[in-house]
Formats: sequence, C-alpha cells, structure tokens
Amino acid sequence: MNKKRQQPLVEEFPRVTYEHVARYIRASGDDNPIHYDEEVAKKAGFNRPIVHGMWTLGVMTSLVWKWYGAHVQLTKVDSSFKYPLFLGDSLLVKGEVVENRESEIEMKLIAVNQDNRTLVSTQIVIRGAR
Amino acid sequence: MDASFIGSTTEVHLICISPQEIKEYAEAIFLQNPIYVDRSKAVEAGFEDIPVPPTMPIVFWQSIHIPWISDFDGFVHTNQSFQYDQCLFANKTYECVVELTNVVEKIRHNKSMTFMEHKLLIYHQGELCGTAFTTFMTVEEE
Repeated sequence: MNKKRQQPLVEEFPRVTYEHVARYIRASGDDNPIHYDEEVAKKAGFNRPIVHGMWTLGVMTSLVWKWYGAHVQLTKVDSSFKYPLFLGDSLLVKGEVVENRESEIEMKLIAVNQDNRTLVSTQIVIRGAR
Repeated sequence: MDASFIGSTTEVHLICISPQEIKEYAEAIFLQNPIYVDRSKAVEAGFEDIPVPPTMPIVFWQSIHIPWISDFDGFVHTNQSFQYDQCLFANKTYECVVELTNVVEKIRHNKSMTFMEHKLLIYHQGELCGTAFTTFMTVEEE
C-alpha cells in the first residue's frame, strides 16, 4: 500500500438534510413517506423521518473512488443496517483495509452518527487498486 | 407472510437503465467518478459504456412486481449485499427476477419479527451478471 492509503480513511457529512433525501427519492423512485413525513415516521415508531439506508450505503461506497481513484471496481458489497440515520443527523464514514490481496482489497466501512452509534456496517471488495 | 411463499419468484422483468438515470443516482449519493456521467471517460477507462453504480440495482425493485408483498409500509431494510460476475452498463437490457429465499420468524421483547430474505438475479442474454440480496423485517406486537 502506498503512503496515501495508510492515512485514516474518514469522511464527514455534517448534516443530512431533506434536500439529500429529496434528491435520492427522485433518483431511486423510493418515495416512502417515512423518509420525509414526521407523522408517518412517528406512526412507524421513529421520532423523526429516517434517511434511506440505501442512500447511506451509496454514499459510503462512493467514497471508494475518492480514496482509490476512478479506475477501481467494486465487485462485492455486504451490508447490515444497524440503526437509522435521522434527518438532521451527521454522518461519519470510516474505512479500513481488512486484507490487501494481490488482485483485490477487502475493506470494512462503518457509518456512524454524531453519537458515534453505528448505522451501517459494510464489507466490500475492490479490484484494480494500485 | 408464511413459509409457504419461500421459493416464490417474480416474473422476469426487462430493465434498461439510461445514462441520465445513472447521472441522477450518482449525484444523489455524491459519486463523483466521471465514468458514471461521461461515456467518453467510461470508454477511456476500458468500459463499453457508462457502468451502473454497484448499489444502484436496488432501484430495480421499483420496476418489479412482487406478488408476495402488497405494501412496503412498515418494512425495515436490515441487510443488503451485491455480488457481481460482470459489470452492468447503461443502455443494456437486463432480465431480472426476484426470489423469496427465506422467511425467518423471531420473537424478542414480546415483539414478533419477520425477516424476509430475497435475491434479485440480474441476467443479460441468459448469463448471470449480478445478484443482490435484500432482507426486510416487519415487527408486530405479540
């Protein structure tokens, strides 16, 4: 691994807003009101609307190209959604190399909120990292 | 949901993702790699066309009728995996099928939880390109 990749792989999103959710709804077609309507979220047992887990996972995996460059490919993503990300929360994504094999890198990505509570835990496999 | 549905599959749905759909999805998740928005950059990088971002096949669910799910209200997404045998591309038509692979019931703190495990199989001309595994949970008071 080169020096750059030995640095901590961390990215922070200070506040996840309705605009982020609205853009994801337009792109994904998933317009479940639990993601933007406080009353619906409360009926489902949440204090506030919850952000799509797949938005969080998409943001997490997108960081791989920022960290490793445009040429790499993700061949495997394996995720558990542990706790909801609420509108207005902050999001911190941390990446750690688990194994650096000859042709691929296995990484663990963790997303946490402002209370350091784990939201999403993901194992990924990347090919083409130089 | 009872176990008799295990093994059920949807009809085959043909899904083709446009470059514009990929651009909007990429922008929504802050995916700033130019190969996802610019075909010439994708070709320069060795791809035949703009690739589909690896987490984007979850969007395919919106186009597939799932006979054993009438309403997604109250569903919690608990696990998601993607495995690729081949890269997926814009402008290519994929044959997609969702299968209910397992239903697991658990009782915790007087709540009945049902976990529904699915796999989305993505083929191109009969060849498997990728598989997406999705687990949803529903909770009911006992």
